Amino acid sequence: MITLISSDKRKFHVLEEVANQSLTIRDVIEDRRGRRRADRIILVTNINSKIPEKVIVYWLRHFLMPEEIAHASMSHKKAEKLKKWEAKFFDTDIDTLNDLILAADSLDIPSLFDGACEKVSDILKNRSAEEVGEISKIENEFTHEEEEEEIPSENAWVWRNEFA
Amino acid sequence: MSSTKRSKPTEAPDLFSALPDELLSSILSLVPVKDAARTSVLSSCWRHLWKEAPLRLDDASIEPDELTLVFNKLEWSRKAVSKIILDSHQGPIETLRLSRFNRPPLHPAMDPIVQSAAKRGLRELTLLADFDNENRHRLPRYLLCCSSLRQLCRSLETLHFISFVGLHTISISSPSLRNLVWDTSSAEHELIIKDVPNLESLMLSEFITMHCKMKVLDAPKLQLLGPLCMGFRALQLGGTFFDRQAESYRWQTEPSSVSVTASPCQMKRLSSVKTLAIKMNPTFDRRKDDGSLSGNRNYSDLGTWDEQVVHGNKLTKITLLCSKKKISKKFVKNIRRQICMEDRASSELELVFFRDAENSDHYSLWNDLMKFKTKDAVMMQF
Repeated sequence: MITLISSDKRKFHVLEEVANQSLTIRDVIEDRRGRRRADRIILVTNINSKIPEKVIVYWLRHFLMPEEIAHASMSHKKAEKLKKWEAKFFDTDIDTLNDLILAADSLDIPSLFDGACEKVSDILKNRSAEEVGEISKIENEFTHEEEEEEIPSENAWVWRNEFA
Repeated sequence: MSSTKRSKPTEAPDLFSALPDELLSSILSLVPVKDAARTSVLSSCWRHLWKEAPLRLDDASIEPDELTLVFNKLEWSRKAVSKIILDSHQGPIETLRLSRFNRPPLHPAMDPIVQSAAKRGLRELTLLADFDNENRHRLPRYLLCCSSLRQLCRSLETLHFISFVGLHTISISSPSLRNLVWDTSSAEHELIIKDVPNLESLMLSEFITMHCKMKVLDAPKLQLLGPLCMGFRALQLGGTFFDRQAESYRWQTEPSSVSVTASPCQMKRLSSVKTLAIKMNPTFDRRKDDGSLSGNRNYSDLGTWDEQVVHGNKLTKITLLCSKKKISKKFVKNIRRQICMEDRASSELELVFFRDAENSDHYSLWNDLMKFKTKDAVMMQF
């Protein structure tokens, strides 16, 4: 059992096998192997407490994965189920997704990172720049000329179907 | 309240402000390149971001807007790809899938694109080409001349050949190549794979004709080879030869066509192959559920693996692909007995039964097989 402590001092107890899905944590545990119990406490200072909860939920679901992959080849049902579960898991607000990306990046959890990035990237897909700007509240400080002429002509194939 | 954070403009922070640029790049690389390029007008921070984000490009996704009349859409796509790779985009290129450069003769614009991509850390390249015997064509120089590949594609890890026809001899050598998919059913060709120190998996088409020769030399890390169900005319793996003309031993599992043959002792030289995928033939599947095989030629097919097990070869996993709907305990037990898994030297040998889904294309099947390779301890329990 290892203990994760978030930036707001909440403690999370996780089985080592589960937390091993974070490559960062796995390395830390590996480094400290054979030491006292106190060393099995890991501070995750750059993450607030809401996120470890999510991350641990994700870990627990994926902890069963090796078995599931084996069965997925026999029946695709469980793989489908996991897909559905992930869709639900990532169906959350953008702030949480951003935090998940940061957490997955610093804890090195590739599948979580990819999943969250994929979800965030949906904001940018099939939308015009105006729409994206509106949704994401990005402040546009370009002058009218830059926005309408200069940048589009750099990549004329995007806006005008032609090649400058 | 005093804030140590950098002063923000009057407005609330935008949705993406929490993420540093390199993570935004990861997100942008998941977006189709046209949408990514559009983000350049969002703000000055975004203006050049897409150009630095790792690029995953599929030329089939690059099309002109429907509203505009473009006479030659293929030509338009090709131009756009050239423009992006040779002109706009500056960052690394992760994956490249080209299907619009295929009609013979192979479009000349492809060469500089592949060359440029190879210099920028290309890791995965998929070329879809559609040649016939009348229109043979030299493949992109920078990709397929083995010397060039070594020089230019240092980071190339995955290479897929899909439906190339009209090839004669292909020689592949690459210090970085890890996965090779060969799904090409040309009438008569020779595939030579040598000096591939990192090649781990070699996946072959089910439909390679009997005229194909294949040589695999110096592939010390090769672990996954298969599915072995095609009628090679000649197959050489390291010092091991399988020649259809020799009658010494049946090695193949396909009974209908004349199969690759080899003697068991030759198999022992395949010391680094750890996983072998064998496609069971339909007649094998149709056999009675008790799996009785005695007196059948297929028994001797599996007999080779028997030898493997006896001699404690490094082979640790045999994957049997079968289209059988139900795999009963008895069937499994019988096969295990036939390859003497219970009481031979290689007691660690795993036998994995892999149901060949009827509707799935064989690429997805191969992907699943690759997963098996990474999960060392996958063993189906019945």
